[in-house]
Amino acid sequence: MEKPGAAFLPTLSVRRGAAAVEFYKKAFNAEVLFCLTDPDGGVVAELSIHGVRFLVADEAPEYENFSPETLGGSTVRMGLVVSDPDLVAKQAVAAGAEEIYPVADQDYGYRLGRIKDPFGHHWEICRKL
Amino acid sequence: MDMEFKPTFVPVLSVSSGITDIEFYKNAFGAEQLWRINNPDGTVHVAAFLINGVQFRLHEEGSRTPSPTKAGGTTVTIALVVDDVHAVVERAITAGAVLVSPVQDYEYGYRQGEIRDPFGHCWTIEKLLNPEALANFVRNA
Repeated sequence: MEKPGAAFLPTLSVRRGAAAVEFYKKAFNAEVLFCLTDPDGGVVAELSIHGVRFLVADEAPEYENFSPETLGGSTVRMGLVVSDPDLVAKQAVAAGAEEIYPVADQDYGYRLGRIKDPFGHHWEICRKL
Repeated sequence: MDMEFKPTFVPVLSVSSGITDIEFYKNAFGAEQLWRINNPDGTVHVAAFLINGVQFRLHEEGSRTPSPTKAGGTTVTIALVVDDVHAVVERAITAGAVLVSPVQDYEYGYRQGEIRDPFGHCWTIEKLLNPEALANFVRNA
């Protein structure tokens, strides 16, 4: 049986990709590994949050990549496990995210809160208790 | 953010209500089911899987986090990094996935194939063959 590698590399589809990259830099201290810009201003960028990598790309409905704004919701939410969820959630809200519910100790064993970023993606910022 | 602590992602995939059979992820990707919380009728509310130490979850859809079936598409594509891209894509198809884009070697250095799983989620199965080609592609873009 194939033994898959340990890495998931999510691609978040958004509108206004260039602005999204700026938001993730401010909200999560993300570092830009590369950022390709189309002639029409669309971007594909790979970011790293202290070694956790993900891509941000302008939506391309013709390839069935839709932003949460287009679909009216997000089909995958990003659990982000960090040392200090309170601090990270606060920083994300300061950068423009909307708090869905505050960081608190949850009965399922996580300290966890949820935010929605300005591009419609939901993030669960958490730490195992 | 504490630099000593290595953050991780746990993607949470929204699925339709009423799903019972989630063997796909075991059959396709060799995922190990960590735990599963059922509704009283036995359908899935939340389930956690592990692929080589990396966790992801399925979660019954909510109003702001629709399933791909309800939303009519996906807002996140997850790449799964593997050794043998052809083998994993073939196994996923056998397990019930739909082929979206056949396995190809791209000029940017990746071998990638794309599938849609039985619950509508898109996965790119990939391996970086040539880091130098990626670096050149990014530099020349």
